[in-house]
Amino acid sequence: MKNEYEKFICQSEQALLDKLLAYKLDAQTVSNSEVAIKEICLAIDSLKNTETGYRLLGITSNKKSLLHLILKTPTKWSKFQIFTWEIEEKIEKGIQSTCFESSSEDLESWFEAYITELKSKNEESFDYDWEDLISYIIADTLKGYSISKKKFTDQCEFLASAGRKRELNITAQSEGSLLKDLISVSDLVFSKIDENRKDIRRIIADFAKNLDCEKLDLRVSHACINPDKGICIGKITRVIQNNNARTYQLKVLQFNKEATTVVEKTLVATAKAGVIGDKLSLSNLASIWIAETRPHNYYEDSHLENFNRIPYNHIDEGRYVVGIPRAGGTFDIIIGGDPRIDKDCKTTLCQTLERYVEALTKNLTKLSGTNIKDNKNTMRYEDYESSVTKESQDVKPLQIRLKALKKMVDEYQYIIKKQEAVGADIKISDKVVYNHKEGKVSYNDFSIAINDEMLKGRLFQTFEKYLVTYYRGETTEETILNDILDKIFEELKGRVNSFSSENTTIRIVLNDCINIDLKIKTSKNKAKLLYLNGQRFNKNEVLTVLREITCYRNQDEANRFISNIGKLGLSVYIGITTGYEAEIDGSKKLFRFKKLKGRSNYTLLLDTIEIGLKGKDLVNTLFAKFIGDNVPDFQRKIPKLIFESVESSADYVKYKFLIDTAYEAFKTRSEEFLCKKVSDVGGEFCKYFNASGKRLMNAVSLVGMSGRKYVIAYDAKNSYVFLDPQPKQGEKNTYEEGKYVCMIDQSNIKSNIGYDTVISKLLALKNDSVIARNIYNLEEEISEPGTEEGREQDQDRENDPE
Amino acid sequence: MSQEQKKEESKIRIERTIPSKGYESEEYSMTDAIRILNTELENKRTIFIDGQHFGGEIIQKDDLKKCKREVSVTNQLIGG
Repeated sequence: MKNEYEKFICQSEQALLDKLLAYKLDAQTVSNSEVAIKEICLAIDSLKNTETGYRLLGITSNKKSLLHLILKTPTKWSKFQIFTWEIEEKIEKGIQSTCFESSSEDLESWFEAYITELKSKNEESFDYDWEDLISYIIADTLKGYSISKKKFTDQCEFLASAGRKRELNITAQSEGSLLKDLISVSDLVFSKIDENRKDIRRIIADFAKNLDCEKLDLRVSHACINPDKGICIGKITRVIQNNNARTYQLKVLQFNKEATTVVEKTLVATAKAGVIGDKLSLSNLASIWIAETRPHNYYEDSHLENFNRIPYNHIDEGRYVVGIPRAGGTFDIIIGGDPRIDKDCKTTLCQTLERYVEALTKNLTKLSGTNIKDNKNTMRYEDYESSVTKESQDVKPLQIRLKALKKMVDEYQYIIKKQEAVGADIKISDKVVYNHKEGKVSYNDFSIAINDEMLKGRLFQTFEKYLVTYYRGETTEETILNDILDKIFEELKGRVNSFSSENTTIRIVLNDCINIDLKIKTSKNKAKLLYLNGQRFNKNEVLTVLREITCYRNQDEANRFISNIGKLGLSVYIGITTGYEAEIDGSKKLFRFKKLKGRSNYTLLLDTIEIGLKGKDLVNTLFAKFIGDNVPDFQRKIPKLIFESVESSADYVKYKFLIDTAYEAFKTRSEEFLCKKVSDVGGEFCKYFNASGKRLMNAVSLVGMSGRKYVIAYDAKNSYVFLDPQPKQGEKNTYEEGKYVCMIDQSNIKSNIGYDTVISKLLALKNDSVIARNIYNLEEEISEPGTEEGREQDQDRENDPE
Repeated sequence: MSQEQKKEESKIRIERTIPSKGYESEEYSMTDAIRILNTELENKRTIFIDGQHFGGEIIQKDDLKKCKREVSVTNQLIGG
């Protein structure tokens, strides 16, 4: 067994279980290893009822065994201390677990008492802590491992009698020359900052001048250095190696903003080999290392505490350490090269710092507050910067700012020439119409009208932007149709959140036939209460419910839907109908529920396994993610909620391992369903080049009963239907340039897990002649003159007296 | 036993996505199949019998007697 161990501190039984079972296992392995998992759960559950105690637990998987010594201590802040040793196995093993020893003894107190006594007897020669020597308490036995106090005390006695003593080496460098040395580095940093700021201001001013817009109010600011904190320059002056740890002394000069005063500080810290803990996460930049840190407390010198977090392998005598505080409270720590390897490490550091300061100054030069104002319009630079940033992913920050400035001036030049069409229908494209007077947006047979004056004003601006971008060819009708509803609801959300009057009713008319009264009342304790057609909803539910109703074409159906959701609650409704898809720790997971009889009884459905849950907290947490407000930290929150609501640790373990498997099984089954239906309808898998998104998508091609050809292009979340696609030249089995047909899945409002919508579209399009009457624009497309049905309909219209 | 009786006793394969485990393709007795499919229709879903769209409001035994392969249940679509 190696002497090196890793130490972890856990504050709850759940965190302890998570730590011990940090494997990725599939359902099969879990069911085959039930005995091993039960043994671990039993060890944890048995610790629940004791105030102190320890367990020596071995867990083997493949060719690796982990030996855990778990100490339960009565202190609140560190309930469990886990010391873990890794052992290589000679032969591969399945998952096995053994509890070698268990006791209710407070082992930590025993260590403390023994070491204190030893220190008092050997003041000069023994200054170890018990954690430095804890590996010696583990003994090998025929049955495995055990706790041996004798082995530990023998080792301590030997070290004390050997007379080993810690000493710090003092460098030859005197304090005076060190100060001079560090100041020379700071001079370079400050002069480079000034130089770069001047250059950038000149570039921006020249660029603005060329734009030739007299209304442009240009404002340039630099957020490079935080005004309240100064730059810090330091050097590691002394280092001592102690077993697997290095202790270092760091002399730091902290300058004020103008570099007129300087304060000298001395810091001492320790880092252990192989222990990442809270050490700096450094990334390499040329020959130096850099980490972004955040102080614990903005108003004090707590940013300096980050100098105590230098990782073990970067602790070498003579290394330079630079700290640069940035706006927003972050603190960049830069560590220079090892002087034993790079004799000229100071020059190397200065050269890299020059480049770093230049990039930092460019990144943090802001144009915030820049605007264009005339009688009718105010254009804010910030709006353009955010849109340009999204469009230009790989472009450098300064170029993005100049691009955004140009875009704002261009837009202004266009808008002042455009007439405002108040009262009349504005036709953005053939299908998208907006009427400012009525606050009504229509596309195809869908319409939404909202009679709120403030909202009308905001929607007007949104549609003005659509008009401009569509006019310029920067967006397509397909893109507008796809995101128009999101824009409307974004505005509505802003309006609902900002409402301040006591009692207000907004009338929303959907599809010219469904009337919804959104009533906002203020309760006695000033809480905002929201009602849809008399049924009360939480603020975060209202918009989701309204979105769902946009699919309805009948007032009775809409009223019934509102009433049903009112009874069950929206979070449970979605949880049991389609479930929630949540991303945790980089992988997706699927949560589905069954509501059981009783006020707070639910079952979490995982493939064929059901896990009983008490309380609605988990459903509500997932719902918060689904609607995008106050998204919780899933990685910690969900396991915690499940651990609290299940009755045994074993149930929690079932969840922990099967949740991944269940999602994969769901996706696989969905793919199988899609493949089968593609084959059934005589379709073919292909690719489609979506010109508006400039990307090649997976697709299915098929011919409908009407004889028209379709392509359904899809990705993990969305699917799009294109009529009469053209083969893409030079690329086999790839199509492009089809006519977009908007088809909405009535269940689309919920999470789109799997390929349900693609399959629905596939079968509907195969039956196009029959089903088209339900899908307004499909009927319009396939009945164009020239086809048999088109001719019949044209005939009907001619006979119509109207 | 007449052909009609035989058909009544035979199973109907339904393929659909269900909340607990996603896609499922299962055989049901005629009575169960009618109950399941009418519930699906109430939930605003669309039914295809052997790939042909079922346009009625209530599914009856006669509709299923024609089924040779399977009944597929999908989400309802509307024009955008």
